[in-house]
Amino acid sequence: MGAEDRGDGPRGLRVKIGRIEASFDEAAHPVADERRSTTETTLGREFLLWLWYRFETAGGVHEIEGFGKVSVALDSILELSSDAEPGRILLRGDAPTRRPEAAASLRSGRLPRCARLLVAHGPDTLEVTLDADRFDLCSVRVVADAAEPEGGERNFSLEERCGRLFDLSAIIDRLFERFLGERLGKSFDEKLLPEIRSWIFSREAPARRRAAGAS
Amino acid sequence: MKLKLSSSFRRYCVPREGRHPTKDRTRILDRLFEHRFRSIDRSQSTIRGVGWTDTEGLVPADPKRWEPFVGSILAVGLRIDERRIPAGALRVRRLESERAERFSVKSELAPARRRELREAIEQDLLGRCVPGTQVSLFLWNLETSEILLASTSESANASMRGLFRDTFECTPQVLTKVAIAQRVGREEWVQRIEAMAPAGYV
Repeated sequence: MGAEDRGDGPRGLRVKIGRIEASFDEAAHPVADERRSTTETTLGREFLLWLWYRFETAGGVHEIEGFGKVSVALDSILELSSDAEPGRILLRGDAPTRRPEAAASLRSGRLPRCARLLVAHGPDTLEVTLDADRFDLCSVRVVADAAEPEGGERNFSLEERCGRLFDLSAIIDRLFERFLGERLGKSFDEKLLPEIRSWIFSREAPARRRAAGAS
Repeated sequence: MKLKLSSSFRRYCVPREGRHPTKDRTRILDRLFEHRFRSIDRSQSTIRGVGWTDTEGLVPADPKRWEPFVGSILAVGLRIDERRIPAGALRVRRLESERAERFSVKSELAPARRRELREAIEQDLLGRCVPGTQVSLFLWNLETSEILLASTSESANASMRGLFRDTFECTPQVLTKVAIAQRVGREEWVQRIEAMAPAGYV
């Protein structure tokens, strides 16, 4: 058996010989550590709740250094869960945040675990499903307000794609930084937390009225 | 008008502490080429191969003609070829083989012999499998030291970290919430995050 078969070269091979399987490309996995960290998990979910709260109470407009005005809206996917409550609530379709189930879930202590965000920045709208636990950017999509070129749909060049992807990543980081500033700030317990609490309970009433009206 | 672009990404950063990979483009290119993808098609005992390619998954023939830089961003492909035995194939062949041997020796097979048969069949089938190919876009912003890998699969991400470490002698760090707090330079936030309790919103 050669060196490559033993997998001791630098190319990251995995070899299975009989019942023995050896991996040479698996690095330590920090995501596994993160999964164990309840605080980190909750922090991601609180961040989505904060975006939701800002979206409904202040139009979701954030002034971000280096990007100017960026507006963030919650769109077609919303998943809520809680470590204390069994089950997850997944809402899909138009305006899931306005559904009575969303209000009821918030009230029962569930927090958003995953949400589809529309991030409008300049002429572009970036769509992303943000996984609050891992902070992965899922199903990223760019909708550009560009004039349609002759001959139909234009594709992004690799340079344009790269630029927009890193912009999105930086915007998420800045928003998270802003959230952390408020969450870890001295006035969180006295000001922001009671405001969000009050918003959660105040939005329950119209949601119930809408549900009653529909039936 | 809608312009297509749909992928999922896991984010990384290159840690500031410890060994930091070079920013010299020629050296980066040399190292990428050294750790380029190598086909496992002709090596029957190799189950998996991981390496760098261009964004289409093709292995560049000459590093001097390879242009993976887009401004300050390195854009390459992470190619993973892996042999997998199709579902059900191993089980049925193992049963066939055991039955044939039982018939010839006219007695029950010992567990050790069963294991031997299974391993031999597994090796044989793996050697005959055509490797599956997965190519994920890998973007490394050399200015911000941020990395985006267009895959959220644990296996592809582990492979990328291992290959990056082998190539640049440094393991990229997943951008977790704490890592973001560290990146924005708020070390006191990190301590407070670790000490904080979840807020009671209801």
